[in-house]
Amino acid sequence: MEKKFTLIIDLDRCVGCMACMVACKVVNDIDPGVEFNKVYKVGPEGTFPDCDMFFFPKQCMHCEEPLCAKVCPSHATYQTEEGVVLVDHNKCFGCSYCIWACPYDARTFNKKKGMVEKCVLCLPLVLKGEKPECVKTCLGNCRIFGDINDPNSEVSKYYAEHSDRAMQIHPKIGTKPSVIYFKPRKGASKLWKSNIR
Amino acid sequence: MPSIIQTKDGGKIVRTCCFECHAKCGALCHVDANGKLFKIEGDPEDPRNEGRLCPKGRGAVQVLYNPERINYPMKRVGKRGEGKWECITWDEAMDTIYNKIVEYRNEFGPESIVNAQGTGRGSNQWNSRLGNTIGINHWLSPGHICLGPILTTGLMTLGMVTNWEGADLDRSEVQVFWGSNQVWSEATYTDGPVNRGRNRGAKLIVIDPNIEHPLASKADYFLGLRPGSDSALAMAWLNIIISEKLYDAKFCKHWSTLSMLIHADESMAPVSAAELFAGADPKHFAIYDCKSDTARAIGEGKIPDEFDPALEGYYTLKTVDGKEIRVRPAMQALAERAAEMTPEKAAKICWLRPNEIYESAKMYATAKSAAISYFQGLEEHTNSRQTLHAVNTIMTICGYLDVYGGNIWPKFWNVMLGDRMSGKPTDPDAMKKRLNPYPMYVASHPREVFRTMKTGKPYPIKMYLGIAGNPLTWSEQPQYAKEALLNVDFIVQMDYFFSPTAQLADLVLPSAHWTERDYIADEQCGRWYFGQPKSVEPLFERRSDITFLRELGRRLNPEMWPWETDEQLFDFQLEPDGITYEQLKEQHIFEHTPDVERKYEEHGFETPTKRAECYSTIFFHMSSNPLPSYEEPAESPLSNPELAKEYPFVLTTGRRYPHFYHSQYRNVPYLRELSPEPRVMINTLTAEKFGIKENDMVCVESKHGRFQMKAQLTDGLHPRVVAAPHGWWAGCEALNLPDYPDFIANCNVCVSNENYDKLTGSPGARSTLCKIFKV
Repeated sequence: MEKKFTLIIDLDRCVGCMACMVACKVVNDIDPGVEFNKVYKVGPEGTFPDCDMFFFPKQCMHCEEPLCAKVCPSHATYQTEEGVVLVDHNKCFGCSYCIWACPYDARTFNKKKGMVEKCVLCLPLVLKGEKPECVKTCLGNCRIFGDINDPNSEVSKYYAEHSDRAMQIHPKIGTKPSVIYFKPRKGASKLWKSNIR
Repeated sequence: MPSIIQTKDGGKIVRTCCFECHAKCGALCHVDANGKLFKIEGDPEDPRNEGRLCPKGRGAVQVLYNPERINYPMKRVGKRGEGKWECITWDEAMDTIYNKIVEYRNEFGPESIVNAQGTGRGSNQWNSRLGNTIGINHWLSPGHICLGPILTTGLMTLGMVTNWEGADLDRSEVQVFWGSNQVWSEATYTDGPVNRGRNRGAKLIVIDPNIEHPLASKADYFLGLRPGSDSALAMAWLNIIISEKLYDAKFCKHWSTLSMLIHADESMAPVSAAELFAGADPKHFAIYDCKSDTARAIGEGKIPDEFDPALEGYYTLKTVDGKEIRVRPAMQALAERAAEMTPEKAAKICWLRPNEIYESAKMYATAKSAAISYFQGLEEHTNSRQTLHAVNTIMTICGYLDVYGGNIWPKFWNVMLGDRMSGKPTDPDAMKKRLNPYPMYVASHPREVFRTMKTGKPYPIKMYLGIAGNPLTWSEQPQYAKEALLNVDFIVQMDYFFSPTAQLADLVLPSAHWTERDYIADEQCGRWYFGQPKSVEPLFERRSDITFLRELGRRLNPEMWPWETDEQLFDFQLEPDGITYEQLKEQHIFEHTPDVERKYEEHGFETPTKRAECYSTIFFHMSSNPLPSYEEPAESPLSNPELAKEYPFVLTTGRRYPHFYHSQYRNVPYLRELSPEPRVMINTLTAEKFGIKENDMVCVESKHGRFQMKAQLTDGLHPRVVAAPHGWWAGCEALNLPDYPDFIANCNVCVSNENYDKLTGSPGARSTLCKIFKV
């Protein structure tokens, strides 16, 4: 069976340390102001001490049906054989249609370069059998990565064990994201509905 | 895996430990064929961090190559603080420093020279050795707000430091974080156990004023207490545990001092064996044996199984001279004292709910195993000793001390603090000359040092020699520290960056980054030592702190510093473990203490009685208060209601970031981007009342000073608590972000330098009364 890279983000374990953001910036040599991934703090909301709060790391979902690719006039955005969504910087001329089309706010415009940049899933590393840097460095071990079509992979096992908490973001749009979120066990009941639809 | 791996493209991967903070995660440094470090990642084979690495470590490449670094030895040419420097050679710098030390020592005595450090880049013991070489070892550091109170309370009462890597979270049924956010600050050995704990169903209790603590909203119990009220909560837990008999009676009877008899009167004095038995050793104590219904003399260590020591009741005994005395086991006294602190009373004091206090105490005490991770949240108060003693007593009576899943005894601290590494003061009057009125502080106390610098009394201080450390940021009343330092004739500062303290120096020295120096990762590394070889050759004229200390020490006293190279010095440190530095570098990891529980069974606890001293014989002599008790901070709405009328909020300076280490790294672009400016946290409802909106500039003012920051509104704090971050001084040239000169955003200006814990010398940095207003 074909490989299908999947990234699980278990929100129950994210501790908001932002190591993923810095690891990504260093390894991909990202310019200031550009973010391939970002950790949001959702909450705290409520009356102290009865507050909900959780952290929400966000990045490109590497959708099976990427809207960004559909709208790209220069075909700069494309999918690799493994389903990873990338931008060909020889073709991108910075029109930013993809930024508007992406329902996940996962792309940033690099003013210095005049083009759009986004998460590359550390593909060169991944093809060597390693994991993306954000996964390796995560203090909460909340990111689990691998081939979901391989039943023995870490990601498949984790999915099987905790699938009761699994969810996709904006499933109705039909983008089929390959990033799967796991709901927090606690601290999100009230906030969940208002922030994540 | 060897510690240096050559890569196919001509580069290398160096297996080492990150040193951006104390926690020293295993790290792999990737160097390209041109010798440039381009990536640092966590070492997946490190048994502690298992590949994880926090933003500080990941961003350290930008510390190594930061254009704002100090790169050469430089002497001041303009006025002090003017920022005019001239590069000099290392030889000239070393000659100048050596000559100054000799000159001042001859004329004013060794006490006129202050050696200083910050939280430390791992050179603690060697800095201390240099101080002893000079003469009296002032060893000025922020130890009174960091580690000091925890170390001395633990070592004096239990003969161990129960904390940090001692909290055996991985094997515990209940994980407690009490005034500690170690998933950010000590990720090395904390995050794996917490992550696994989430999925194996470990229970979680978080005791912290701030719900933005990354574990608070995930916790089974979050106790959002008033900053500084922890000792009341701890006494309430003790009350519940003792009154419901949830404690480990066997351990308390045989291995703690709680079965010891003490006088029933207010003196709480221990009953000496010689009072009761003719010819008994006066240093021995007594218990009441329930089996034989008589008092018995007991020596050091475990109380033999043949006795069944009483923990409750009052007894009337005859002394050798025929008098009758009324006595009770220390546990009886503790029970009575704790009984005063009902959950309802504690709830009122701590701003909590009684049922949560009760249920969390039961969850902790009834578990098969439970570990408490505590840290600076318990230290930076004027009542820190009481809180720490009470929390240590909780873990001790529940039988969680030095057992798997509880709070294990990491032996490293007992070794590092010994004389072997730091040497002994060369001045025979050193202890008298040290500026330290606090019996539980182990160096000259910062407040006394700065006062002495400023007043010249009891003697003049002529020289300040700092290696890392930035008292103009960490000190309570830093303006006072600045005035004091300006009174010192000659200031040397060795550091990465031009900190406010370095800006005042007469001579600055360039410290090598951890990626540029050979060292040993030892402190807070649990059962292990790790080789920490350099990844790149030192850039410019930067030198290892160790090289500087060793070479200066060697010129002053070659007998104390016989080592010609850093490697020889490391060999000396490792000698008792039977390994050389070369071998350590080769194998990278060395286990110096096996993973064993109940280590005390072999030789007892390292205390005067060789038992766990919840009733502390040392505290009895120091303060006549040998048992833990509830104490309010010097400044609180309860201890000083008059002051609270004008300053109604409790200010804690304990707000932290996962990507900065104290006052460092605001000048690192990848890290500064994450928090471009300091913001003080205020409850949303409170802010509304004061007309303060998100990002409005607000002033926080205490009786002692004021600072300004933008407001960050949050529901995650009690309406009467204000939480400020510390350490903001640096700008970031690369991002064009400003610095914060003249203490404008330094929260420590609000902290008193008059109120201290009477024994540990800890200031009330996390419990100060304040008011807030929009600027």
